Amino acid sequence: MARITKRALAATAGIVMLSTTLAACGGDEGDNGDGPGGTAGKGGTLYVKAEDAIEHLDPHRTYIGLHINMLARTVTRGLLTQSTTDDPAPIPDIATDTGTMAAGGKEWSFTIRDDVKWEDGEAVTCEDFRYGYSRNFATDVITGGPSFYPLSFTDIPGAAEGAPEYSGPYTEKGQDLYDKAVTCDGNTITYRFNKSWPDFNLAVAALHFAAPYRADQDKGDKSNLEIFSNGPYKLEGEWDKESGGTLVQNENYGADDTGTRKALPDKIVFQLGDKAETTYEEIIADAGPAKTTISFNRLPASMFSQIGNEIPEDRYLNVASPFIDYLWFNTEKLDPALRQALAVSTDREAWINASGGERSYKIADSIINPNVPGYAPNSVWKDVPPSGDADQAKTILEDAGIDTPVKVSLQYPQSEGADKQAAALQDSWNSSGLFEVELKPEGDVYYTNIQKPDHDYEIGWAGWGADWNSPSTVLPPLFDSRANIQGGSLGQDYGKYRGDEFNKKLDEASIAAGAGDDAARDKAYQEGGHDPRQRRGLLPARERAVQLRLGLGC
Amino acid sequence: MSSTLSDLETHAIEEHPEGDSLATKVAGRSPTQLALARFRKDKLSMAAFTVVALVFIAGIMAPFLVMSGFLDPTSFHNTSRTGQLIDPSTGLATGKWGGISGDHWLGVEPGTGRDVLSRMWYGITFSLAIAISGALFTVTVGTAVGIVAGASGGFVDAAIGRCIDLVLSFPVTLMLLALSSPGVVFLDETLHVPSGPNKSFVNGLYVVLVLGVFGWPYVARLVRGQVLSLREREFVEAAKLIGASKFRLYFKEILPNLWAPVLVIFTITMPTYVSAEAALNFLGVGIKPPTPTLGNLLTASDDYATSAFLFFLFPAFLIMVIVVSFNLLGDGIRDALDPKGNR
Repeated sequence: MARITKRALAATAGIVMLSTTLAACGGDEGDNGDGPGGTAGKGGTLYVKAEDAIEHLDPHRTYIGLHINMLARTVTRGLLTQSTTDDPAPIPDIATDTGTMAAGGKEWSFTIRDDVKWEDGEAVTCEDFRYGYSRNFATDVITGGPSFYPLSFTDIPGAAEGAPEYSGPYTEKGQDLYDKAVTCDGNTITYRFNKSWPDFNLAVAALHFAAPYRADQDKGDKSNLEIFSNGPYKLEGEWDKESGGTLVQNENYGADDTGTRKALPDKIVFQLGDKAETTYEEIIADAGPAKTTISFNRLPASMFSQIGNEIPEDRYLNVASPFIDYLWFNTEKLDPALRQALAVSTDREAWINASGGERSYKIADSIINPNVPGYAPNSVWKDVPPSGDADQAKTILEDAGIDTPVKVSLQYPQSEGADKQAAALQDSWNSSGLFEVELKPEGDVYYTNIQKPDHDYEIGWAGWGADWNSPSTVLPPLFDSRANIQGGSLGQDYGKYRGDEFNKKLDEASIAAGAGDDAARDKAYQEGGHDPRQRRGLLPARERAVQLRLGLGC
Repeated sequence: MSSTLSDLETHAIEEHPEGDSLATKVAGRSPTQLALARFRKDKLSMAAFTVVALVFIAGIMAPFLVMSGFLDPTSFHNTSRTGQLIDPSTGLATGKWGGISGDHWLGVEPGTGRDVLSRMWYGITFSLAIAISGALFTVTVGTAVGIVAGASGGFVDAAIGRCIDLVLSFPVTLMLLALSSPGVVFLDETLHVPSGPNKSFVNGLYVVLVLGVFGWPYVARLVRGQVLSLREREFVEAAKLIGASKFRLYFKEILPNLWAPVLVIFTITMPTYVSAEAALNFLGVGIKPPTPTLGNLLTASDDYATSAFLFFLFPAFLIMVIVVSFNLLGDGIRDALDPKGNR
C-alpha cells in the first residue's frame, strides 16, 4: 500500500473486509450478530470512526489500503475483487472471469457483465472502464492514487521513460494514442502494455486504478470527495472532509454475486475526528451506538494492558499485515562500514517495545513481508541479535578505520509515538559508545523532503507494504534507481541507493515473471535482495501487525 | 547617598511617620527591609518561598546530575540488553507500582522503561528555563511599553492602547497552533537559530517568543496604570522642570519606583507560563521528547491515566506543586510590598 502516512494503516489480501461482512447488530432489530465468522443479522447501523480526515473518495485517487478495503469496496465495483478470506486469488466482480493474458503479459482483456448498474440505474459499460483508466493520465488533477502503475506500463509513447504523451481525458492531448492502447470491442476491454505485466489481474483486484467511472459524473478535482456508486451502498447527502458522511443501501445493487459484499447494515456512518483513545473507550463501555462501532485506527498501545481484562480476548483481532518498517541510510553520505555498524548495533527490540511491543510489531529479517510470496529470510539480518551487537559494530568500525564516536543524525516525521521510537534508536546507538546521534523531528514535510534528490539526511524511517500479492510491488518500487531517481525526485529510493547488479536482478525477475516462472522470479529477487546489505544501506526492522477491535458483543 | 530625585522623595516620605523620638532606635529601616520583615512573618509565604527555592536549586543542579550519571533521563530499560523492566505484551512496567524500585524511585515510563524521577527532575530545568525566559521577555517589553504609554500620554498613549487591544483580541491559542510548524521552520531555516539537541532550543525559543509576544499587553496595561499616578508626583515634575530628557524621565525617575509591582507581576507570570508550557505541549507545540519538560511528560502520561496511574500522577502533581507555590510566593510578595492592598 505504498507509503504509510502517519497513522494510516492498511492491508491487502488476508484482511477480512469488515465493513461489508460485519454483523449488523444493535439498532432496532439486530439481536444476533457478532464478529466476523459469527452469524450475522441484517439491518442496523454500522459506525466507523477514524482520527484523521480521508483525503480522497475518488476511486482513482485512493491508495491507502484501509480506505480501499473498508470504504471504497462498498461503493466501487471493479473488474476483479479480492476474497474476504486469506485466499489471494482474484475473484471476478464486473468482469465475467479473471481475465485473459496474451502476448507474454503485454496484453490483458476482460469481458464486462451487462447486469451491473450505477446508482442511477444505468448499466456499467466497457466505455466506463476505458474512461476510468484514462483518468490516471491526468496527473495534474488525479493525484494521490496509484497512477504510477498505469503510467509506466500502458503502451503509450513516452510511458516507459515516465512521461507518457497522453495527458488524460480533460485535455485530450494524445487521445488517439490512448484509444489505440486501451480499446473496447463490444463488451470486451483490452489493455496493451509496453512491457510484460503478468500480475495485472492481481493489481486490479487489489487497487482501484482501473475502476469504472462515468464521464458525465466527472468534475475533475471537484469529484474528489464525491461518490457515484455501483456497489451495495451509496452516499446520502454530502461527504464532509473533516467529519465524514453516511452510506445507505443502493437499491440498484443486485444480489451479492461475488460472496464479498453481504451488505448487512442498513447504514454505514463514517465519523471522523475523534481520538482513537476516545473511540476505544466508548467501544469498551459498549453502550448505544458504540455497540456497532469499529475504528480505523489501531488499538492505542496504552490500552494493551486492558486486553484480557476490560477487552475480552476473543473480541481482539491481531492480523499480520503486508508492511515492513525500515530504516534507510543515505548511501551517498555514510560510509558502507558505518552503515553496517549502525545496522548491527540497532536494538530493534527496544524500538518495538517503545512502540507497543509484541502486539504491534515483530522483528523482520527481510524487506519483503513474510505474508508476500517470494519472501525468504535474509541471512544478512537473520543472525543479528534483536537487541543489537555493539561488539560486532565496534569491530566493523575499527576494521574500516573510522574514529568513534561518530556523529550521525536521525530524521523522522514527528508524532507522540514516533518520538519514543526515535529515542529508542538514539539510545541504542548512543549506549554502544560508538555513535553520537542527534534526533531531527520534522512535520509532514518529512515525506516531501526525503524525496528531494539533494537532501543531506543521514538516517530516516520509512514503511512499505506490497500493493498486491507479489514481490514485484516491493523491491522495484523501493530500490530500482532507474525508475525512482528521475526528474526532481528520488521516488521511494530515499537512501539514494544505486546498484547496477541489483537492477540487473530486477530485470531478470521481471523477465521470469513474464514467462510465468514464479520460482525463477522469486530467486532473482532474493539474489538481488541478498546483495551485500551494507551497500543497500537499509535495515528492515519490523513487521507491522494490524489490530482490529470490534464492538463488543451485543 | 542617592543619585536620583526619586530616591530622596521615597525616603522622605517613608521616614516621616517614624517620628523623631523613635528615629534613634529604628533608623535606617528602608522600605525593602520593612517589606522583608513583613514577608518573613508570613509563614505560608515563607513555605512557598522554600519550595520555590528548592525547585530552582533542583533545576540548576539537574544538568550536572545528568552529566555525572546520577540522573539518567534517556536510557531505555525495555530489552534484554538494557534490562527488561517492561512487559512486551502490555507495555507496562513489570514491577509493582509502575516499577518503583531502589534504582527507580518513581518507577519507569511504560513502553520505554526510562526513569521517571530523572525525567521529571531534568524536566524542571527545561520548564523553568522556558517559564523564566518567557516571563522576562513579557515583563521587560510590557514594562517598557507601559512606561512610554503612561508617561507620554496623548496620541502615543492612545496608539499603544489600540495596539494592546489588537494583540489581546487575537485568538492566541489558535494562532499558536496554526503557526507553530511554519514558525519553527522559519526560526530554524531562515533565521538559522541554533536548533540545539533534538531541535529543543528552536522549539523552546518558539514557545518563549509566543508567550512573550502575546503576554506583554497585560503587563503594559498594569504598568501604565501605575505610571499614570507616578507621573503626577513632585519628583517627576521636578525632573521635568530641570529639563531631564525623556529617557531619563522614563527609566531613571519612573522605572525605579515600579520595581515592586513589576516583581509581583513577574512572580505571578512565572507559574502561568509553567502551566502554559504544559498545555501547549499537550497541543503539540514546544520541546519534544526525548528532551524532557514537565509538559511533554504530562502529555506522554495522559494516555496512561487508567493503566499506569502513578506515571500520570507524578508529573501532574509536580506541576501543581510548582504552580501553587509560585502563586503563593507572588501573593506573599505583593502583600509584603503593599500591606494596604486588597487582601
